[in-house]
Amino acid sequence: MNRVDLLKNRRAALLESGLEIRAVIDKIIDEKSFVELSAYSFSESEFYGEKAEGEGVVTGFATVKDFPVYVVAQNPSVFSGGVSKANCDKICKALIAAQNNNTPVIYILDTKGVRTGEGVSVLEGIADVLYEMNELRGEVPQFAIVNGDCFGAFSLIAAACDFTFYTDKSCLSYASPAVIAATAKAGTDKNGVGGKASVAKTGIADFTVNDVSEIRDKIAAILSIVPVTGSPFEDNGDDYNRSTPSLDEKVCPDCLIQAVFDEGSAIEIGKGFADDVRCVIGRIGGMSAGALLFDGGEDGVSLTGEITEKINNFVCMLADFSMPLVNFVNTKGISKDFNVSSSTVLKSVANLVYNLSGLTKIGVVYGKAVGLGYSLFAAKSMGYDYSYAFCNASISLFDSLEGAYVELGGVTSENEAKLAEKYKEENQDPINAAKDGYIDNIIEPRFVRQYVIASLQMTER
Amino acid sequence: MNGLLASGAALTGVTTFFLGLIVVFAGIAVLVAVIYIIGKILGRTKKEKPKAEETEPDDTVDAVNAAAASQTADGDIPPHIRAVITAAIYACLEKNDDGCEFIVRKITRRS
Repeated sequence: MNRVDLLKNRRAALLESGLEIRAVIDKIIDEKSFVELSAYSFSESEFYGEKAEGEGVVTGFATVKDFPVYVVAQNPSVFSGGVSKANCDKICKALIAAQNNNTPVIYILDTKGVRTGEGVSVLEGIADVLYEMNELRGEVPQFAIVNGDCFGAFSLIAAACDFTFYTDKSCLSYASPAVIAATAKAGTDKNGVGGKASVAKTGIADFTVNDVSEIRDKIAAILSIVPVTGSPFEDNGDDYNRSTPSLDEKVCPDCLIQAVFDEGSAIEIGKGFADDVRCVIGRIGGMSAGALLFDGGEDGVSLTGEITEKINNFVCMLADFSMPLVNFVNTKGISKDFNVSSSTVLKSVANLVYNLSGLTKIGVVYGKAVGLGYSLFAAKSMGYDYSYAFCNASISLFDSLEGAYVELGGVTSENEAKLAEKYKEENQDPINAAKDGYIDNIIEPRFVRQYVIASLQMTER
Repeated sequence: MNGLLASGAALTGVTTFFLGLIVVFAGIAVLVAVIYIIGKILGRTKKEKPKAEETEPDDTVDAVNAAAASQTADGDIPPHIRAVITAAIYACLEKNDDGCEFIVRKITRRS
């Protein structure tokens, strides 16, 4: 057999060992753009006594809508995607190449855990992968796609990535549902442990899709917005001076997203987890930016540990990629609920203060900025470059009813509504904060886009 | 004979008096009618002119032009003065429109 035929046979065997995962890769990347690396790094599993062709992981580089990316894809066809030392070495080679070339990485995760029998070697391998991932953090965006089961230490990869995708087949957990069931001596629901149903509790999934093919467009859109891979400024033709008169009547997070972000550019991250706060990236006046939008209706959002954690993750991601933050504030500060008070919320808020420092940020109070809600998300003393308030917003130390009880006194169940209204009229008008120089301007809601763009233009310089 | 002559002269005098009255009043009536008709004709032509000049569909401009036209019918604001006044009022109304107090422009970026 000549060398070319031998190579063809070897390649056929290699492709045969990863048909399933290669089909998944093909759905994400541009057609015929994948160049495989470390393709023939075979080794023999001492424990199983079998050859592990391709070492259970496919690595290489490709393009996604013309954006270059590195791909690390676990192959569930080889030892159920079991993680080995050789497997980790192969991944690290790809990550070092990505770092040298400043290129984003896409991880396609599908593993039942580590291959037993390798002892501490595999633990070293896992540490090596996590170390290299950390080296890439803030340099390039890292995407994780939980393609099937992802148990064991590699579940950390999904948690460590900047953007994580879940599909209908996803199940991500450190301990597999079988182990959890054995520990609990009871049956467990796989979907509830790490499937789509767990998204609302874990907050790991940034995007939930029905099929892997939907991920391609989303990755390309993110890469075009994030300044390190896209362009910090891209004029998309949306009018800088577009006003939204309907905001004068009704303000909500969705209305603000439509009013402020350039048409079709907004991408929401972490939908399904702590939805009282919405995290969105996109372009505002052509500039890359992130926005934190507090929902909460008329009452405003009360901060919990989960909400603060979501904000922390978002703020860290923006800081990593040098993207400015615009807050649309409607919060009463930390919740006074017993469960929240006895949780880790204070530590999370303290971390948030640290994470917010150094970030370019603009505060726009559209609803309530009460108590710590004002200090954290709109106060110039917190380092906000510009702070604005809608003319119908409320800024104060206390919420209206609380303020009536604390500051007015003589409140009874009959007159509390009236006195709360009195407190609101006398103390919550944003003009008070503006008179003291804490708020730069009080604006008509319809012109919020103009104010945000003009301010971002100044911070950009 | 003399009495007959005297009565005939008196009759002629009365006739002349009444004829004179009729002629004078008829003359005055004709004059009034002519002036009225001329006035009507002049009024109509001057009212038609501003309508021909109206190009702006804006309500505020319509109102200003109509006011100006009624002034002209009374007599004496020349069209170019009227145009200047219209422009000034319109500019004033523009300032009071609910537009943002500034315009966001494209900035020069550092390379």
